[in-house]
Amino acid sequence: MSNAILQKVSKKYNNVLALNDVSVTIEPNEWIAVMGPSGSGKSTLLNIIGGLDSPTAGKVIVAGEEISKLSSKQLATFRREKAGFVFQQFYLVPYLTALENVMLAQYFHSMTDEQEAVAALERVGLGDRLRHLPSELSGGEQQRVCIARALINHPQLILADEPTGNLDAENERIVLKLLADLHRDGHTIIIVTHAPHIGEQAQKIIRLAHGRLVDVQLSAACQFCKI
Amino acid sequence: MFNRILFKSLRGRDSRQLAAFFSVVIAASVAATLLTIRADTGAKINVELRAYGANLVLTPAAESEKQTLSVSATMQLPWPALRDTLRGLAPVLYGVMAPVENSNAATLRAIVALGTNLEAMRQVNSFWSITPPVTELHENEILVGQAAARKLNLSTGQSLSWRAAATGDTAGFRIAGIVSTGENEDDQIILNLTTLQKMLRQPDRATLALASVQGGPAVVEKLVADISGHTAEIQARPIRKIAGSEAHILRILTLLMSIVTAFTVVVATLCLGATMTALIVERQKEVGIMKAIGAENRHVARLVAAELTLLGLAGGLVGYWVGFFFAGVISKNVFNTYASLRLEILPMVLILSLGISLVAAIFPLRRALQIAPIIVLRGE
Repeated sequence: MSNAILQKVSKKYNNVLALNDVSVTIEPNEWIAVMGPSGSGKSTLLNIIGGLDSPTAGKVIVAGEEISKLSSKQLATFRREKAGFVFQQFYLVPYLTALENVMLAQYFHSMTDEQEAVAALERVGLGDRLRHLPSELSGGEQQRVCIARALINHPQLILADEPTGNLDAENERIVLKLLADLHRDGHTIIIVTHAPHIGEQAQKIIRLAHGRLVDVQLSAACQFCKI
Repeated sequence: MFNRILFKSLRGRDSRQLAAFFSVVIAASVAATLLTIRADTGAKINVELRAYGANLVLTPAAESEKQTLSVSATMQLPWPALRDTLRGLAPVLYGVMAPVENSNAATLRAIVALGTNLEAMRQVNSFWSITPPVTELHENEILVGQAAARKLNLSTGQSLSWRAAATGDTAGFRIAGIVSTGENEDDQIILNLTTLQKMLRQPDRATLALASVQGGPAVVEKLVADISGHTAEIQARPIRKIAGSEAHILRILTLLMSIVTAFTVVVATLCLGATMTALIVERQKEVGIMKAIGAENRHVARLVAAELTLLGLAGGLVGYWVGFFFAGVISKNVFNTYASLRLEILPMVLILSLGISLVAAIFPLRRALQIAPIIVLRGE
């Protein structure tokens, strides 16, 4: 069964057509890169797949569930159970420590398990930064907290919107390595990026322009995923 | 986890939380001040008004054959049950004194004599002014009313004689002082009750008895009912102009305090609502993040409600003590007494503070629930 199916999906903001009749299918455990110029609808596509936004027209089926028909409450349930988000701006709660930010996702999902949250942060190499506030962490460290938060509830989908956009080369390498590890563990990864070298890490590249699907191509070389 | 979020969230926004906290404290302290004063005022105004004289008069019952009261029977009325509220009880016997022939010119006219226990009368009518101060009248001592002293040209220390008109019994007296009451006593002479009873040959009798009762009109009415149930010989009547004044003043004060409290509560609710709305606007990104990672409206509502509940309870508690302090300052300046610590007011203040917080939460909460995560994350 496909992990995500988008059929003729359009999204209009006021008079601007952000997505125009996009149809695409994403298989389980695929690593997809969504690429295109600014304003091409990359983030909108990602947000619609993750249940953060709803399409104006078309059908979106994710993990067997037609999320385009869900209420806002059902979408919240979908997000906490099926999707993990990694944002370019990190979006951590500023007054909570790294550990608490990860546990926050557990709290909204079901119940907190501090040991599991510690293990998630150790996995992203932040075992010694558990009690640090976001303001006390570097950008790369904050993004790794964000990845730990995204994976803590074992979602099928990891959705990353320009996750390395604010990072230096070394932190970019660390973050991409972590995403590759998650992919190897069976997660479906959808990453929005401008950078061709990051797109090349994916198995499949979806190209958008002016809200339209231009091309879906297999990546020439996937360094981490070893197709 | 909820508690961690709650306390860290409260700690993380010092200035706005402080402004919200002070809004609650101000409303709670005004309410606590007025409730404390209101609770104390009844008793204090009552004490103040007791200085204006008796608020209960005992006379022979209309159906009684006797024209006078038995002093001993009056004293045996169920006063012990009201010992805490009875400020004073003074039996009064009236008689007419006629001039004594061959006496000095001053006494050559009839005058009304009032026999009483001076100490008890001073407890009932503390406004009586006696010059020089006299606390007790001995058998041969009298006080002369100010107007009578002027008309008869009498002064303290003079000795003279009077004859009881009803019996013809004569006695000699020394003027112990001049009394000024502003009422009928200014034209009378005041004698020791026993002395007048002897002259009128009416042992243990009194024309009436005056009582000063604390506790307001309700207590006076209850006492009237108790006395009516206790004896058919004595009729008790409240002196309405005094008892009624107490009720009237209390009603006005209560109304005034209620208006001030209501006004303060409304202003505080608006201030708190505005502060909390600003706080939610400030926090909409945080709420958006929470919703993006799976928080439902109930999670957000619970957090906002818990913050406001804590704010309300803490503000109410501090406001209670601040209010008690101000009630003390006001009591000291107005009544010259200290305010009583009234713990029964604390739940009222806490409920009021909570109510203010929760009503103030309506708009910010609605705003928080309407936050769409995608709008916030897009930075719109």
